[in-house]
Amino acid sequence: MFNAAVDGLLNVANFYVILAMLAGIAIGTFTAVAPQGIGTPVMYALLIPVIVKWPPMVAIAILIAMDAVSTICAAYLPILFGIPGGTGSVATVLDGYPMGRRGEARRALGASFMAGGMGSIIGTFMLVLAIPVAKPLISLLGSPELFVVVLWGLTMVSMFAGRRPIRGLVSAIFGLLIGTIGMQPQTGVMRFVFFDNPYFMDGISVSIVGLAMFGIPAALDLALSRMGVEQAAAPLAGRLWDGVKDCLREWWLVVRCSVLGVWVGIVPGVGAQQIDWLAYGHAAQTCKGAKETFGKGDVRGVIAPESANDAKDGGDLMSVLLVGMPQGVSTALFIAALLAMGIIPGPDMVNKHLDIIYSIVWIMGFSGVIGTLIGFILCNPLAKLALVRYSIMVPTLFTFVLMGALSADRDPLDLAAVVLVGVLGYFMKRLGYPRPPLLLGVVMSPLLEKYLFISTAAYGARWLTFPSVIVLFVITMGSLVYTLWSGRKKDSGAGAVAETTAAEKKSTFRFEPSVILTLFFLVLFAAAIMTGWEWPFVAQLMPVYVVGASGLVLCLIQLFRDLTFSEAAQAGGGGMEMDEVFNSGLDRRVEVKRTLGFFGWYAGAAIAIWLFGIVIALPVFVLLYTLLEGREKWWTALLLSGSAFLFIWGLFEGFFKILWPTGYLFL
Amino acid sequence: MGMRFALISIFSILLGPPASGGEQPFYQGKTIKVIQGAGDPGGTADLRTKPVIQSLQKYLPGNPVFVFQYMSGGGGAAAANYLAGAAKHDGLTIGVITSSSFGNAILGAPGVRYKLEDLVYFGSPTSGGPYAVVVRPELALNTADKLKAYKGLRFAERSVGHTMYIVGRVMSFMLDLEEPRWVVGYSSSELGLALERKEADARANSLSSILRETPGWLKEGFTFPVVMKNTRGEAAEAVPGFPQGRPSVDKYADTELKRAVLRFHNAVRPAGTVFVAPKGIPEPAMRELSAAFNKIWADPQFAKDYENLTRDDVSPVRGDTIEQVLRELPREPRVMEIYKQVIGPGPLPPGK
Repeated sequence: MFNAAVDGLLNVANFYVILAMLAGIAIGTFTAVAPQGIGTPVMYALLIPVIVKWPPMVAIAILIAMDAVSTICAAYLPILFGIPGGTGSVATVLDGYPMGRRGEARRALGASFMAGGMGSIIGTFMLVLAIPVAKPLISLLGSPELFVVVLWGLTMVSMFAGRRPIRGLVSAIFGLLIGTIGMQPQTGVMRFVFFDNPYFMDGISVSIVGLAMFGIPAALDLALSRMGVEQAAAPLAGRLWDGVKDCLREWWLVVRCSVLGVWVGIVPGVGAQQIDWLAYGHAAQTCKGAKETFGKGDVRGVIAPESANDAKDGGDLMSVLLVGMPQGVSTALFIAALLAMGIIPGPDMVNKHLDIIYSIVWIMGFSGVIGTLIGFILCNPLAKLALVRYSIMVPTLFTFVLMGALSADRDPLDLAAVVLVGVLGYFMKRLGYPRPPLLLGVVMSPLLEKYLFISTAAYGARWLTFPSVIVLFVITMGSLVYTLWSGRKKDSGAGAVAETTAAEKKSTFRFEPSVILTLFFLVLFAAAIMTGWEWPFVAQLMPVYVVGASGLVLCLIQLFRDLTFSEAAQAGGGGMEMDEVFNSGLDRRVEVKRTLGFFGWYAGAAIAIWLFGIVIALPVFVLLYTLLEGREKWWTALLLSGSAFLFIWGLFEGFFKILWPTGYLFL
Repeated sequence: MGMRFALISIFSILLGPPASGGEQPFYQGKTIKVIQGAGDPGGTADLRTKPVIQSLQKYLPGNPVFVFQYMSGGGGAAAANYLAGAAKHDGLTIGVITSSSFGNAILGAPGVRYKLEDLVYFGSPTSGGPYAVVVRPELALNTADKLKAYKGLRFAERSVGHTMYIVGRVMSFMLDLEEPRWVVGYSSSELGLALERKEADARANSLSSILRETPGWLKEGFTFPVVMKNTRGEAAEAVPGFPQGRPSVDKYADTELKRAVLRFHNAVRPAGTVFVAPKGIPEPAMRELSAAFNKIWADPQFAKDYENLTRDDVSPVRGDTIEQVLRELPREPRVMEIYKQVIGPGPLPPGK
């Protein structure tokens, strides 16, 4: 094995391999920094037809290096813009953005790059350790066990809901309902496929929900306050080195989350969409004082998802190289590339190409270190984005959100979805409904249903008695009870003051604006039950019984609590406030005027894109917004608009030859 | 003289430049939009499309530029709807549709607004298949008779309506399997693992995919008791490296109903990834595209490059073959109704 490791290193110590690795790092960094739409799969698909004719080690170097760094630098979007970066960086928004807003962008970026680098190295190290045991490791957990793991992920709602448990549950259940849209694999029933439109058959993209739910309220914050992202008294007070020290101090958290990331990487089925949430939930459940600080800008809330997300690459490669099973589109393409080069991935690779496995390990390790250093170099210029004026940041955010949304399914209905979800995100934030549980519901819904039905179809009810399932279930319930119990314990002190207030207001009936949102959810749950009433039981179970019925009951309880003012009294207590509480600090009329103006621009941009196409409409929108709303100088507006055009047209249509959907008027 | 010259000059300008020795190619300096309905950017279907487009650049006169527009919604229905309906008939839009687009249109699947007659077909690099039933080694079902005698075989599949789900169901129907069950919902990366974890007993897969995705299974005792021919009538002999001599399911089509269902099944899946254009494109465009595609399907260098890149078997089907299959498609209501039951989520209908 030692000899193979040395041979692997010698393979890498070749001028062309090093050159390819550096090229891969450069492309991977670009992929990470570019907004959604240009992911690793797109770059792989472009490169593979060319590089399969190269010497295998050179071709492998470019692919591995690209993949290894593509997630390390992706955290700047959630930290500086409040929008999800890559697929595995959604949970980073929860603490990264509040850190950016209070002047700690550099610290947050430093922590994310360092955590990513450490995660990448731990993932690489575990890949080496796993060489003899990869196959049994992958087969260890079957669908019944994975069902309980997903259930554990869902119990995080208990934390995200914070001091509004019913609202948190309603939000999560609504997320589960969104996750049921589309074709149900077991029956082929088309659930909530409105007007028989193919758009709904594949479900609503998680990236659209994430972008709109967090990105639009973040942009609105800037438009309301008319300030840049950072609103601290001392600009850019946090330092890169502080973030690095945070990671070193929290090394045990990094190790735990990295191991979790590697494990998720190994297991097919649970992927990048879930890993950051699982790591974040683990950190929130186990870190000291998390109840008070998570969701408000705790650096550990950045470290956990970022380390897990980067360590996942090691797990992915274990599955690909040692078992020959792809984990997703990128790894399937990587396998295709290996096969085209005459290398057959799988158990035989340990016998026939152990040196190549070690070469991959070395390339991953080197790329992880170089990627982290690049992140450190980029940290200062990136952090300065937090100081950019709102008049430039808002159109930039619009560009990212609308472009990211339209690249999800490349369907004009993406625009309608992103507007509707953005408006819902605003109202949820404004009226005190936590948003993270909704996203968690959307992410977990398909897996929950899938593993439940697979387990039942494969084993009947017998799977419920499997020892592994019982052990995991006990751990899940234990962690849920612990979270709830520790929350109650902390609430009891602060709650004493609130109880008096509650007693005073117990008999008061009052109409809170949030009642309208509760009624909105109530109507949707009722509609879901009515729509699904005729479906076969298997298709009905999740949307009608699990989601519709329980959502309906919870909405009724919430209505009672809203109308009797009982929740407002309780909310004075302690406990985790996972979503930011809305307080613009503006005069009400000014706030309403600016909010309506903001949504006018937003909806206008979406409609213009639908009519004229994104290549024309978005640059024009950027120009008009910057000039008229932002009152910037004409040359600043032209520069920004021109950059948007170059990015949208030049990069996608000009360089990659990937067309955006044609405007309705030009069909 | 001066007047005559002036008149000739005016007529020359009005009538355009004098014809040169050779006619200018239709696609000279033009951009062709490729509607990719078979997958997302960077997906496997995209990888299969790229070598065809590279060869098209070689064989289509006029050196046109190709740009991609991705429209994978509804399992390819969005792209087929667009190509048959909204796309311009100017010859500058072509598309890629999935093999399920044919069956979906004929059986009236949800989301389908296109008619197969509204498209013209240029062919496909692969006929799809041949396929086999793969059974985990512990069950030792190495012959079709043992497979037929086994009760409650659990098939792992992605979703109802997926190509492999349909193939597995049709094969089970032909073999009259006893109470087969379907464990559905796996992602493609989990399917192999489902057999290794013993959550399922069997799955249907194409022979080339078995060789590509799980080559170790050939040595590890997994059995392949029966195969299904591709639409060109080829079985395992078309896939070197795969165990030969397995019986084909058509041998077990022992009733007229089974034979009719198998004929219908083959007819609605004439090819894999199919290149199409809206019907009614200009005649020169049609002529040049057809000629270019036919050259690609006959090009051994293309076959080599395609196979090297995708590891798929290259078994091209020409556009005129697809058109012919669709023209002769049997549309007996009873057979279509039984076929719907065969490929649906419920129990299999009796084969007699």
